[in-house]
Amino acid sequence: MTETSTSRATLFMTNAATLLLVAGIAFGVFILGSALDGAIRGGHELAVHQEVSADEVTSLPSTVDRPRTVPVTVHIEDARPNQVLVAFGRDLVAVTLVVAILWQLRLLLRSVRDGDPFTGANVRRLRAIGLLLVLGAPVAALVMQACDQWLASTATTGGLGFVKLSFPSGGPVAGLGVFVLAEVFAHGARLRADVEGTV
Amino acid sequence: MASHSESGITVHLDELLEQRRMTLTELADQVDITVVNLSVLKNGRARAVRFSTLAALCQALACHPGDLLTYET
Repeated sequence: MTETSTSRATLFMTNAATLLLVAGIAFGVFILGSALDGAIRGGHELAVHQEVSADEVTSLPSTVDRPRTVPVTVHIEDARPNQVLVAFGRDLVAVTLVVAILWQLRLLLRSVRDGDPFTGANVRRLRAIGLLLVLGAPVAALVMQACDQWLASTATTGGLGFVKLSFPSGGPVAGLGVFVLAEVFAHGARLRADVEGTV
Repeated sequence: MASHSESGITVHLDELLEQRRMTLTELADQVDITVVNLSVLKNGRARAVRFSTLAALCQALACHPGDLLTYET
């Protein structure tokens, strides 16, 4: 890899992290401002999260909102072949993603064990893990959600309203962190190469 | 025979050793550098040379840095 392309990757990562940091600080300032505004002027609504048993949900006072969604489990008895295939396919997606990540981690850990972690191969492995998290995790989650919704819709009647698909953000954020780590390893590999060739 | 590295720096260690009738092992003992590292330098595979190494080589070989290293495009 040339020095120029490596510098561009590092710059991109730095800018992305800076953007997220600025957005987080701005959101924190907004929350603080809203809190102060409500404390000074009054009339601000607060939400306090607690847990109650399901039996008490119907008898809650008017000032307490019921949860918008309640976790449920839909049981499918005597599943049809297509339902079985979709259920196993759903699980296979998650397992494939986890295995792919673990495979790269294992190879990386072996190099650490051998005392030679700062290599180009490990940089590629970390970038692969980052890609799996940034792209693979959301895709896997959406596919699994779609499978679950289809399975539940085929097993229930009466118009049960299941929650629409939601986009999981944990994977992309973790993937960004792994990409940053990959650039650190790339710099370490360059330093190692320089030290090795120094007499 | 001088060794030419990718950076354009040519190392004339072989020539100097022949002129001084000195072996690589003898030079390694004098400058306190391993034979392996001296071989890396002699064969043009070194990426960097410390000033302390360069000074020790010049003292042992009774030469100037310009006698040991030259730059050719």
